[in-house]
Amino acid sequence: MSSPVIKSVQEQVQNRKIATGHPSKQPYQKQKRWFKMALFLFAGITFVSVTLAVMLGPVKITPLTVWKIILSHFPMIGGMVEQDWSQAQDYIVWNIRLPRVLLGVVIGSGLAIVGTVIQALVRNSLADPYILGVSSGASVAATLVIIFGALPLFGQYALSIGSFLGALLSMIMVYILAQTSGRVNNTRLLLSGIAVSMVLSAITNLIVTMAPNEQGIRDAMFWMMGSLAGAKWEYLTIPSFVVLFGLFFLLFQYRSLNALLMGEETATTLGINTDTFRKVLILISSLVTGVIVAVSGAIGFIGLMVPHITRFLIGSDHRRVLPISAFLGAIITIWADVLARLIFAPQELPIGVVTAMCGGPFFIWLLRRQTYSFGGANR
Amino acid sequence: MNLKLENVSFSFMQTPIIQDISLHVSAGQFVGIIGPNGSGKSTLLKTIYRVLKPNSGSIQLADQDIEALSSRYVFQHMAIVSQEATEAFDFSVQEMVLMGRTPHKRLFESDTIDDYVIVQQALARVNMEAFAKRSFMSLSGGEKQRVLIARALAQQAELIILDEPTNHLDIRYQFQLLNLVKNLDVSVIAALHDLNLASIYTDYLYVMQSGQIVRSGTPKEVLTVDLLREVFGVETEIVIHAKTGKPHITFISDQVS
Repeated sequence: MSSPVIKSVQEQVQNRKIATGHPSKQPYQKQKRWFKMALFLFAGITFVSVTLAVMLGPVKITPLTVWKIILSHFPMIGGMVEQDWSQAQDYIVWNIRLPRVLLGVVIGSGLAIVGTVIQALVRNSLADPYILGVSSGASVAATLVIIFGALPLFGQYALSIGSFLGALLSMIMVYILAQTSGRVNNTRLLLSGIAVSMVLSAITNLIVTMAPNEQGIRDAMFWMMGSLAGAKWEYLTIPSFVVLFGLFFLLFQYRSLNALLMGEETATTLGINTDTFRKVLILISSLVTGVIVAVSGAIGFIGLMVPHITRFLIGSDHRRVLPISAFLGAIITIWADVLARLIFAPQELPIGVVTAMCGGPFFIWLLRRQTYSFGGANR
Repeated sequence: MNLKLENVSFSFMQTPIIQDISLHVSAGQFVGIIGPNGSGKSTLLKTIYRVLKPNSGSIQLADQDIEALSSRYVFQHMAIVSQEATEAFDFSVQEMVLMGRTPHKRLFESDTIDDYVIVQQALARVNMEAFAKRSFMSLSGGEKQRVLIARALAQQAELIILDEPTNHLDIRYQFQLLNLVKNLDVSVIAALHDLNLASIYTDYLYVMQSGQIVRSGTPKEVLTVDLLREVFGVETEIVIHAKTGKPHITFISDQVS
């Protein structure tokens, strides 16, 4: 230990030990306040977006009327609102537009958080919620229901239940294929996801080509590209519950999620039972995606894009990424659906077309920026 | 914190990787493991930090069987600094070090001011305090390693395992890193490539060859011309250096002489 370089470093370290008797608490508090503001901002934008999305359509309704109508439907305060709108307006807001917009909120948030989690799970920023074969499995079942009227037993819920079962089955298949001697390997997970998706897509195409009528094909295609059309209050309960549960569960696991981004080995040495944790993550992601696909079809791009934009804005810490991406996913889905309704009104576009058309170029722009590095570098 | 391995073996698909390893690290000791590539150094360390499960033998941390201890408990007392991995996702330096608090936290527990103070002190000890808000990816190799050491410090471990941590570092940072760890007042077990660094920093050395420990002792006892020829297949000259008082190895290439 004779080198002068070493000496000086040693001295510096020694001096430092003495100098930091009372570290300041300021940076910690400042950071917390900054994040709270961001959270409020995004919640605000979501609120405004919901209002605007309900206002817009062939029949224009003022924001005040929108909220009066909504409040009038609440059991306690409902009676206090003075009714100055028509029956038709009430029907449009309460029965047609609001459930659709709220379904957008639930689905957008759900896809965004699952996208975030899947990217952490496989440590790959290219992954999206459908990587586990969910959408392709659901598509097989959905096309069978739409074109051949399968599962008549479940009546009007045949499509939802069928696609959920399809999603579940394909995920189980992918999961079993990804296992080697009891452990789930990342590369195998991605590859078996791709393989299963390909086979199932082929089956879907086969079913579509065997369709007895044109209308069936159109409906099936529309479903596969994703749509929020036909949203009803009844469709909202289960997805809302599942997405909220998923969000809170994952928020409590933010430390483990962060550690997982460091790699499985590092996560293990930070005291996390990675095998169990990853299995739990796959289960939760499957559940949330399955439920979402069952009500809206496979809306692409949101689960891939939103986590990136969020990390670009606020870094990789899951404590912040999860809530912000939930809001951002909701906002983007709401507006994509508004566009899908309005661009060629009265004709409707599938929302998946809109998310890809608008999101794609934006995403390319993001990637082309020199500074973009999948995380906190650009704050 | 002491660590004791007794007759530990690990095989992968019936191929034994390490066999019958017994090893002891006492409190505050810096123990080095040297050996050629593929001799099982990393595998040995991985069995200690629970990434690999030994097929037989016992590992005791502070006189308790490590198998019986919870993951959280083990990694509250043991921290690992390994080779710098390429990360796909970026974090700030502060967030990186804060991860060291993970084993100390329960499910519903949030980060307290204390955690941030511990992080700040850890960064100060590796002289990286000014970098707290910087992006980890933007740092140089030496800076990254120092941050990872700060993470181990934030873990408040009494045993630090270094898994060839100096591999990609310039010579200056290799010294800096080992100096830092040596002065930490914790037990250290390190797999090292550079035999001269091993000679300078370690209190006790284990030499591995083909998955077994072939020699152990102080650097002076272990680092001999015969042993290096036998284990590493190199010709050397070894002198006790006047200033360090440690064996200094000069490698002799038969191409030149």
